[in-house]
Amino acid sequence: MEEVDQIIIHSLRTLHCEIDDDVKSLKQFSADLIVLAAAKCLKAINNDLDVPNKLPAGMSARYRIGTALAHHIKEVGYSGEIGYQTFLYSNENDIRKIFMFLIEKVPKESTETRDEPLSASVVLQRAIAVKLASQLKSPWIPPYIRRASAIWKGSSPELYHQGVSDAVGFHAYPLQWPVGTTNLSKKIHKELRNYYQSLLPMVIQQTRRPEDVPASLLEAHAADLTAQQEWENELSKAALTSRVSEQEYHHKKQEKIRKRVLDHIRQGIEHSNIQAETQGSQDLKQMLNSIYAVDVPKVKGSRFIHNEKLQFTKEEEKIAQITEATVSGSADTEEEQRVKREGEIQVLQDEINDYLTKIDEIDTEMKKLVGSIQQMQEETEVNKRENLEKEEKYIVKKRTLDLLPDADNNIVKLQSVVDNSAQRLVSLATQWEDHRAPLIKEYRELKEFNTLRESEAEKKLEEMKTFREKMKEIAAETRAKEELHKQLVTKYENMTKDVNRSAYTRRIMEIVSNIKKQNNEIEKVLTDTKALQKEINSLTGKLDRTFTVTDELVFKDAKKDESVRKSYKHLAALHENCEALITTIHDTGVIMREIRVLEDQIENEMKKTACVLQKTKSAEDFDYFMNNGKYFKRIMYHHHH
Amino acid sequence: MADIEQPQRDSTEKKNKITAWKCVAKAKLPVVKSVLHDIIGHLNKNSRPCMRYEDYKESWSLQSYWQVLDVFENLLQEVCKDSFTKDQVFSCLGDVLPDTYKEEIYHVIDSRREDIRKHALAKTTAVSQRKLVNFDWKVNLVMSSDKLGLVQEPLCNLDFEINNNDQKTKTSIELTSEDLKTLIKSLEAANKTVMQYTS
Repeated sequence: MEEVDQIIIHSLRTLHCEIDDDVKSLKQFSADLIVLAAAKCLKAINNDLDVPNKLPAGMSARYRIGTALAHHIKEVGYSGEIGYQTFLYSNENDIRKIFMFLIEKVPKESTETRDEPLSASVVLQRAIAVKLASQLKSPWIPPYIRRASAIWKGSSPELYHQGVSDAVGFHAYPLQWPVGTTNLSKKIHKELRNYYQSLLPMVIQQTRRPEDVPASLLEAHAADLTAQQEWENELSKAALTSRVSEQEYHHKKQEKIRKRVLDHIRQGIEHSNIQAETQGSQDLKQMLNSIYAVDVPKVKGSRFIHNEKLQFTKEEEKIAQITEATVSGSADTEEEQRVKREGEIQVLQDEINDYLTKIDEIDTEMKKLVGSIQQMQEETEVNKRENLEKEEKYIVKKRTLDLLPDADNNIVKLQSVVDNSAQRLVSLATQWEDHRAPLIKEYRELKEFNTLRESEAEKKLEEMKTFREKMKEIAAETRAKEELHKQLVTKYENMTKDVNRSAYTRRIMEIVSNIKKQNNEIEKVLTDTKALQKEINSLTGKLDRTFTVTDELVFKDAKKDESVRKSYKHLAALHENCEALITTIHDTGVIMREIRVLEDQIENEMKKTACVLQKTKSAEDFDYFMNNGKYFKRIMYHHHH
Repeated sequence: MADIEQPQRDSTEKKNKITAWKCVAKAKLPVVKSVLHDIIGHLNKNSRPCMRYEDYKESWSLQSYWQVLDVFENLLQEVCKDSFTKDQVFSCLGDVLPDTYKEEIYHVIDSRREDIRKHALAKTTAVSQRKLVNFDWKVNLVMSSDKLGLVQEPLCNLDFEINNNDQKTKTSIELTSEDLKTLIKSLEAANKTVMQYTS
């Protein structure tokens, strides 16, 4: 019981109960201390409970607190008997039971959380939980009091939200601000400067709602930034493929896009066969005009662009003519216009068809001519080659013919020439060999050297690779170990609160050793009793045997002698008496056991009577209350009358 | 029938124009300049309500104020088409206005060429049928569901505001992180094709 009491007292101390150091067991607990400890335990179990820590002086208040505590403990799940008397008139056993129950129920946060590994998701979840808890704890502020839904709050300022009453959608308006004012070398238009100075409203006044200003500014800035980045990207790409300056590239791109747009428009016009409404074609014409008007004056230099311009202007004029032709008739009435237009279209169509057929014919002719030209060229090539070959053959034949008249001499000369050249060849071959041998040697050596170096380099590379892998492994290990270290440090920090763990274990070990000792003793006693049993058995056996032997002997003699017969009778009597004695001893043993059981029962009964006595004590209190009540009633009565 | 009505409508339009120019001529020159600047600043239709009638209520009644706005907007559109020469602007302005007014209006337009051009460009690029006007997003972290205790899946809520023939429609979608990645990938691919077309 001492151990249990010490554990209870220790855990109560960890719950910040002020217990004097000389209090060693629950016997020494006063009613005040019991109430305080119970209240602390209840608060640790359920933080929202409102239980007073102290017993007041007044009897009725004491009673109320006692019943409240009992009620709360029952709510937590205590199944034993409990009431106000348990606290006010304490019984050591009941109190111990209650405290053992309560201390088991006290949540052990630190032990639960410590075992989990600190993964990212757990950390996140814990952060969320902390945030939610702090938000739940914070008081609700009515919207007309708080100025904004987000407030900086706390000793270490933390953004804290409540409600979304003034959350604003991200809505941007186009903004305007002075452009080009920083560049002093460029003159700003006078009217524009005037506008900037006097008329352009501030940026913060340009949106419909003041909340949209930041959104609009951010949007404008982001748009500028992305445009700039994209442009730079394109430029860098262009710089890789072809080296052009930024302006040139800009112009080129403009040209390209314009060309493409023009192509599309022209195709569209041709497809619809200029049957579009006059208004539409006029618009198109105007647009084409405007495209050129913007384009042309800016571009200087670059013959390519000039060429292109000329081309386009020509084509453009054509289109303009066509559209103008259709436009001119617009003054006439609708009917006439249509007839006229149809006639014109017919004529133009015919013309176009004529031109097309002509173009086709010319194309085919061109193709034929080009083919014949190619054929001719090939033929001339072949002829030239043949000519060259024939010329060479002719030269050789001419020489041999020249040599023919002085044939013998010439043959001898030729022989000598042939011999000379053969000798020269041989000498050259030997020379070549002389040169070749050392060179080949050198080459082989160098080759070997090279292969050696290569293999060395490969080895070194492999070594480097292995080293690098090792480095990586070690780095990973260090990282893992650092993390482990962190985890362990946090664990350690959490652990420091529980110093008594070793005390617990020591106590448990002591208890275990005690139990072992007791077990040993029990075994010893058991062996003793077994030995005794054996002895008893052997003795009874012996007794039986001796009795039968003596019985036989005496019985034999009893036939001969009268006195012996008497002694035989005595023997039988003795035997019977002895047996009776043994049975009585057995009976006494049984009775003794029964007596012990009864004594235990009596002790229990005594305890119960003590309880009853206490209840009677509390009954006296009840009487006191009743008297008080009567007294108050009487006073009230008096007041009434 | 429509063809017969055409000239009538033209004539009424002309009349309206003349009355509007008269209204302009009635006001003082600085006021005309400021209103023109204001219109150029708010050519975008969205921000036209940003202009405040209170600023000009001493010069025009509400009706004539709207007329002036219309006539100036038409003028700016036309001036965009032709490329801004002084004579063209003068001819667009009609006969009612005195020359000092015309001169000043031309100066204003000349000084704000870049802005007008930008607006015209924006209008042309927005010529397609459906156009993304605005979008909004937020990320929710789903902690658990009715079957799983621990889900921890981030979900992205995307709201698209789309302009469909001047009618705004809102499309909301919920995306997991993989869906969002595929969406971004397809958008990037689209951007790439656009880049290929323009460069």
